[in-house]
Amino acid sequence: MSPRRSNTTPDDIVARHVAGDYRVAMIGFTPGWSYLSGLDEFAAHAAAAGSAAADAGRHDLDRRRADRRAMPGRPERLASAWDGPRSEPTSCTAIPIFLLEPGDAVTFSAVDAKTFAEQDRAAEAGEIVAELIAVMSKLVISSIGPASSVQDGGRHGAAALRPDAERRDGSARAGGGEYAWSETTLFAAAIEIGPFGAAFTARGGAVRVALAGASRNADIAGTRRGDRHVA
Amino acid sequence: MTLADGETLTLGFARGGSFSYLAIEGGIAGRADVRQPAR
Repeated sequence: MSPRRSNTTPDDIVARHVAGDYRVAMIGFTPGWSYLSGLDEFAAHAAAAGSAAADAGRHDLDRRRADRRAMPGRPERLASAWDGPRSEPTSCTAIPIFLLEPGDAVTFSAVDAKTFAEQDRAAEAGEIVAELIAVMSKLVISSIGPASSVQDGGRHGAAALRPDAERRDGSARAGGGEYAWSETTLFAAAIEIGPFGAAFTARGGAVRVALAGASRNADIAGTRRGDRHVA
Repeated sequence: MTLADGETLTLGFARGGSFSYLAIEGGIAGRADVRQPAR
């Protein structure tokens, strides 16, 4: 990005970039190349305006140079609306270490030129310069059929699908209940599962879920957990 | 119910209905996306 062309200062650009609330929105066709959402709108526009390598606002500023030198965990340069720290190797001699997965939160830190140069050299040598702050538990949809969707706004108005309170509370206390559909989970994000089967895997830690709706067989790690009946 | 790290919840075909709903504590992308409708 060119501060002069975007009518701003380097410090402002750095501040805006660091302040972003980034998440890995998707992984590109090259394993390890992560596309981030959350780049400040101003920074995105400025990046597009100042990018000599801009291609419909999708390519980062120094893509060609970064491609030649990319190593696992290297610090990335400011990009456009899709920001992208990369973690994939570009050589078959490099060890393929993929640092990021969809849903991961990513934080950038401001560093001075000396630190950047040091990290750049370390990354060139194959060292991971990114810092893992915390592992976030995730629910991976291993398989799912058609007519399924993610309902990140929750199941508003779906109270009729909730099991009765007696079963819910008693099951929870007994430890044998497989389903809990509380006032909290009723309005939490949900996955609507179509008539076919599906599989979900917890990664990075335990994940609490609650199931309601059509009756279907359910098992965890091969152990039958009963089924769910429409209330 | 709680899925431990690495455990897989497998669901079969729906019976007596077409759709099921799997609520995720903590919401999507790690956000506590819990909203209450206007009363």
